[in-house]
Amino acid sequence: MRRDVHVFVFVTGLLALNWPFLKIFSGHNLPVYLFAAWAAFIGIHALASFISPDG
Amino acid sequence: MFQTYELFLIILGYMLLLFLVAYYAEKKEKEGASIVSNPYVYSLSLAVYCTSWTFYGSVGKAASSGLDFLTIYTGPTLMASLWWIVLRKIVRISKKHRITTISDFIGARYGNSISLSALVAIIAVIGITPYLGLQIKAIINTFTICTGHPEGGRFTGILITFFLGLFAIMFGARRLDLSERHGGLIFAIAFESVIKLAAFLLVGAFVTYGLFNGFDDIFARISSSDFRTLLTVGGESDVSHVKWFSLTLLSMMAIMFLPRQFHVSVVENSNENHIKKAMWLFPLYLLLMNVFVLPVAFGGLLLDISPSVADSYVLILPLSHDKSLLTIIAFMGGFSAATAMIIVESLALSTMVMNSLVIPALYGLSEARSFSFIIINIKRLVILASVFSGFFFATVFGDFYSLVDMGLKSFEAVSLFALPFLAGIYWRGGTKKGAIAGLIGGFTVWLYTLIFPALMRSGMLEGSPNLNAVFHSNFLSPTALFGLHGLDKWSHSLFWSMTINCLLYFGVSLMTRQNEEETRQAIAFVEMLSPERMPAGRIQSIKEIRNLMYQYMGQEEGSRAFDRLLQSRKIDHSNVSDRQLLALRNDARKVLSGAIGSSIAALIMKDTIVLTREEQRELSDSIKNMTSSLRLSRQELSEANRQLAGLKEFSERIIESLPLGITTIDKDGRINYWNRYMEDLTGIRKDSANGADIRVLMKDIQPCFLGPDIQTGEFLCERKSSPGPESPDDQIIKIYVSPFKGYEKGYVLAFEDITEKKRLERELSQTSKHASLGRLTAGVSHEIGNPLASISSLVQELGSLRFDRTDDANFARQSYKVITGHLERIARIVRSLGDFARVGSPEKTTIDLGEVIERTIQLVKYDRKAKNIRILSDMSEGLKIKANPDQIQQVALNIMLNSMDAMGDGGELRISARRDGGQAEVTFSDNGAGIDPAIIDRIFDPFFTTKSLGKGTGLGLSICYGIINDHGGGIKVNSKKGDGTEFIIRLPLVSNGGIT
Repeated sequence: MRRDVHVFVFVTGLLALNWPFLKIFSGHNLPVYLFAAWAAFIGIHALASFISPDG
Repeated sequence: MFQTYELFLIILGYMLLLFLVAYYAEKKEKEGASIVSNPYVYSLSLAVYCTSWTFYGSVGKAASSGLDFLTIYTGPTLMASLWWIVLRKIVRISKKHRITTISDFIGARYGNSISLSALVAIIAVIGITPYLGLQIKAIINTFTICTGHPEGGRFTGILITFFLGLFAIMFGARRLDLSERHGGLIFAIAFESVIKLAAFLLVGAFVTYGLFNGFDDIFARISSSDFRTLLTVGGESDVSHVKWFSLTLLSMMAIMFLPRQFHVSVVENSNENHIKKAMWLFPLYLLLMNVFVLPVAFGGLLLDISPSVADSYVLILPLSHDKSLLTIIAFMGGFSAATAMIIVESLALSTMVMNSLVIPALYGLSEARSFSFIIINIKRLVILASVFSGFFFATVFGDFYSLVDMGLKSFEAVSLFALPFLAGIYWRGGTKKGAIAGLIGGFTVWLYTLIFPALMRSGMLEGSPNLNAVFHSNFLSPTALFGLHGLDKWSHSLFWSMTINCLLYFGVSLMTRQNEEETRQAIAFVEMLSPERMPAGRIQSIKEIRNLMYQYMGQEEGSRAFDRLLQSRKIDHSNVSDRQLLALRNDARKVLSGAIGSSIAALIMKDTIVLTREEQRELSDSIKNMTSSLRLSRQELSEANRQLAGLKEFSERIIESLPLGITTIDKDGRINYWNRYMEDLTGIRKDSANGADIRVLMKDIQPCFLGPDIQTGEFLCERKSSPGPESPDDQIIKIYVSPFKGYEKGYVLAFEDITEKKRLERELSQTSKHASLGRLTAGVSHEIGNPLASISSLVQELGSLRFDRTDDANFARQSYKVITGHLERIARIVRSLGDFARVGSPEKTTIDLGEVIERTIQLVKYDRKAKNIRILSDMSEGLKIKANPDQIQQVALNIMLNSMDAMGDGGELRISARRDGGQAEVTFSDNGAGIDPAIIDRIFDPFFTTKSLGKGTGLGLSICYGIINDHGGGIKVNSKKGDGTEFIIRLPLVSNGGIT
């Protein structure tokens, strides 16, 4: 898997699971957003692991 | 409620099951059918991260502060996305260096430092103790809850702790092999991960769907309750965004640097490709593990169970609803989470303590026969000690802190390892001193900002007014260090510990130098995933320079060159300054440039060179071979050059020594070579000739042999010494023009001065002519003698006459006529001889060939042999040729005389001349003896004769051949022995415009 892909996924996840996205989704739906973002992150990473070549 | 013994039996039964699972896995591994070495078991073993903190503490945290418990799992999820970059590198380094603990890793990175390794081990032991305490506390609490007998909790705690320690020893310290992977243990841990996940999911499902109507119900109720702030981050919530980020960061580091995580993810990794799948399988496990945390926490709150026991909601909720089986399942889930952590953590800590503290201290006893026995038993004691230290922490401080608080203290402690660890594998500049300074500084801040307040809260530090004054000051308050207010305690501690850690690590590293060992290890660690670097990049010593020269130039040559450099720089091996080292390095690069080329030398000396050791060896061998080949090639080339130069000189000498003028010209007639003879021939020096147009330079040579288009062939030219009549200094030059093969449109010109040759030919021709005259002398004298005798007789008769007598007068008149006729005949003979004998001009004029032949026939009739020979001639008229008449007559005379000689006593000589196309053909045919075929090819050779000595010179026909050739004609002979001989001469006729 390529380094760039990992770093991209990591940065995306870091942003998605921190401020300001937490502030944007703040409210009673925040747990839903957090779990959805978390699950999506795992899914994206699993997908990237399958399709990205080693590197 | 359960009886104590029942729970003990359940615990023992579970541990027996666990042991059997581990035993089975080990057995399969020994049989070569491992059920451990796969990414699924690897991922589940990583879930040892989920301890009783997760099982119980997350619910407690969610019930007290809301969503921030999630950061403990989202952090590792984020970190997992970088595992292929970071963890793979750590695994590879650890495998290569047989590293089994974090302290080993950090110590090895910084020059295999034992002191640094010991420091890390001490920090780890102190830092992890709260975490172990957390597990013990959770087990004791849940055991108490299940039995309902809080009074026996301490004894139970000791007993459980002892069992856990014993179990850890059984798994990890049965034998002494610090580097061995523990397949059975890992499989048991994976098994426990399944148990705890299943247990939590069952409890979560029970609460969510058994006690409530699903997620929506719970969330709707909590949203409308006083606990709604638990659903938010920032604002009214207790969880600020800073805290969220800090906890995320802490957990990211914890998943990497907790000793047990290092153990399962690095030491127990059997295949680095397992990391690929674990990168999303492990986060998926964490996600599932947390799905029901909020429902359980909110369920407990909504059911009015005290938030103070929220850590135990997972157990209390089924228990309070008389769900004994589910309670036991929940208990065993929590127990499995705690035991997994305790077993692996105590094993990891014991290995760390053994490797970094005990074994270095006992190194002097390594020769003792019972050393292994001592070591294994010390390790067992260390395991027990670490487990009981956790128990001590739980019993002393446990009442003051939640499970999460205790766990986060450990997270903060291990986060100190992140900098020397990560910087150590990505930055070569970090030094041992920097790492030690950073760790001590960070650890001090950790103690001061997190542990001291805990001690104060527990009352252990109360009673000291001075200490209280310091702790409560604005500047040195542990919770607001240097007046930094507004941060939660985790962010506060993390900020200061990391700041101090970073400042000291980088500051000290930049101000101190690595020793050789540190440099080597730094390169080895940093470049692990890259192809390995050669040490040349950071040449730190004179030895490395010498080794490089040996490596690329060979031992002998490299040694000589290196010694020369040292002498020229006056460098002493034992005391080399940086400046000298730099100069020596530059010198070495220059020397290597000379041997292997500047590019390769620069590459070798360059910092960024990236070559594997295999490639380095191959490159070294290749360069040596190339150097050797080049050296050989240079020698061969030098030899070839020398030979070529010799050959060139030899060739030039030949050309310069030739009695022949040689010049070469290009297609435009420009001279590019001019030999010495040309200088002598023309009087033009080489310097003046080179580059000049040959047509201009040779304009005094006539006729001009070079027209606008250069023609190849032979040219006979004359170079007059002065204008006007012929001079002895005039030169006759024969010029050969031929294409210069191998050169485009070039020509080679050879100039032959044949002046002397022509002079000799003329003399020879004259001599031959005289010889012919001599042969005619007898006949001529006879021809002259007869008329003279007649004249003499008549003169005598005339003297006695009387001129008054008529008869006498008539006789006198008749005699006068006769005498006059004789005198005319004599005069004609003398004139013809004189014409033949005189030295004529070499110039060619237009002559009538028939007349010349007829005149020669008359001359040859004087030969005495001519009396018996009938000469028949048949001359066509108007056969004009451009020739020298004397030479043509000489040719004809020689051939006719030879024919007469061949006919001996008599015969017939037929001479004819006729036109044949553009040529005149003269045939001399006799019926003499003929020529022997054996010698017919040699008759034109000079000095070849068949006549007896003194009767012939052998030059006659040779001269004839030369003359005819010189006139552009040809001569051939047909003869048959006994049947006569025929000579045929062909000469070009002159047309109106010149020679045809």
